[in-house]
Amino acid sequence: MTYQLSHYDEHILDLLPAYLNGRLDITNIERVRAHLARCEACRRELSSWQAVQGTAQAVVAFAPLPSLNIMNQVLAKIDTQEVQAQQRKRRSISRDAAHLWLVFKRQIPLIHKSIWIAAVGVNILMLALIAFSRPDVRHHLQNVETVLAFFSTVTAATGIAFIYQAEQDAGYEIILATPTSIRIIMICRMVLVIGFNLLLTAITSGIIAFTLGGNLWDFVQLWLGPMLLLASISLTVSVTLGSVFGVAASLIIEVIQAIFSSAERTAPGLQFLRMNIGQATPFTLILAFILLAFAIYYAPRQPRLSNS
Amino acid sequence: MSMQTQHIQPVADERQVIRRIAIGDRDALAELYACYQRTLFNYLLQLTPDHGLAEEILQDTLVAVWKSAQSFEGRSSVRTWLIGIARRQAHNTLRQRRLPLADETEMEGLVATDPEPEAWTLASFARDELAAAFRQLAALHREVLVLTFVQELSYQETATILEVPVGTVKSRLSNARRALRAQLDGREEANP
Repeated sequence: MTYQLSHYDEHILDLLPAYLNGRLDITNIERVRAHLARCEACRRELSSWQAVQGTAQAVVAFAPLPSLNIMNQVLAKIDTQEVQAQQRKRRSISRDAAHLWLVFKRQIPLIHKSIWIAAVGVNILMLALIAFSRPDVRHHLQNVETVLAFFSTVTAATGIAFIYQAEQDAGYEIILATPTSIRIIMICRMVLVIGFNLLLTAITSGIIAFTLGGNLWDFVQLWLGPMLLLASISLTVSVTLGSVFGVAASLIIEVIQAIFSSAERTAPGLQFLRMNIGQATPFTLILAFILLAFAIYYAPRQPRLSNS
Repeated sequence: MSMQTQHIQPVADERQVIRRIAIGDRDALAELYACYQRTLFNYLLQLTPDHGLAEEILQDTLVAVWKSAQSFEGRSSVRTWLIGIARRQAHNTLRQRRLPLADETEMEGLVATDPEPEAWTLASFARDELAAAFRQLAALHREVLVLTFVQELSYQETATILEVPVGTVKSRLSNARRALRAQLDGREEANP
């Protein structure tokens, strides 16, 4: 009689612990049972494992329990760690603020000097124009308004066009080499240039309002909306097409605006043609905000575009 | 196989408890602890004989559970997840204090393919003798025996906790049994 070694005759030693702890799948359980039925050596192995199982369970059954106050200590530890985490968070927020302030301050020398000089010069020029013009022209407030709105807006828009451009920016390579986000740098520069222009034009408006008489807020309303909108258009065009296009776009818009403005004065029926950017309306401000958001979103892509 | 059904029944509730812990429910943490204090503490006592140290690691384990409950994806059972966390906490603490880690003394052998001789059977020994020998085993061997025979984990679950392949779990089990046998032989020689 020939004896053939079947599947069930292979020893199943490595399956025995899992067979005992009930974690064997049904196929293997059948295989183990079939083998055990015909193999005495493996039955002995199983009883050995049963002894190990019983020992492990008995040893653990007599093991002590942990102290009753464990949970209180755990909650105390959690409290301590949460307080520490909050302190760390506060520290990191103040560190971030300090870093942002440093980045902001460092932008002042990095922004092209001509932007500051031009803004100051234009404001002095505006004052001079108004001061030395013929008294009848000067006292015609609409002329003063036109001068103020035109010059202040163009200056701000032109300045903004140059805050972020590879060719004009000496510190550009440094920006690219530092981990500080280009967006943050752009926002800092924008705040600086627009803030500087706002401040200067507000001072100029104050001087005009004081000398010619009139409400300061009426003057401010004339240029605030156009300045923000044109600055944002200028920035958007300059990051997408280049500074020169930014300046050109803002000049074209401003000239069209001026033409319509004077046409409107001679023929009031044309008023509907005029784009309503003449004042700080919610529409103007929202449009300015959307354009700025786009420019800031777009900024980090620009170096890659210019490198390609 | 009754133990297996016990494992399966509370699964839905347990996962609910973990979700509650994840959203900051301290009562849920206390509930989980009530269910698993024995499991975790027994397991930790295999890794360190120091009762106080085991309690400290148990506390750290619960703090870690509190912090990482959000990352529990339910790919393993709650039991496996908890024991895995306890093991990592134990290893961190033991390493920091320069105490011996379970892994360091391992001499992996192959799983025996032939049954051992008749005279080697452990069934003939008395319970206390076996228990005394068990307590003398290396942490590495006590650990795998407790996971298999007390926690009744599958090879795969044990492998996940120990961060080793399934084959290593099998060979470690057979090494552990051989080590137990060697302890008993040593005792017999000492007290004939």
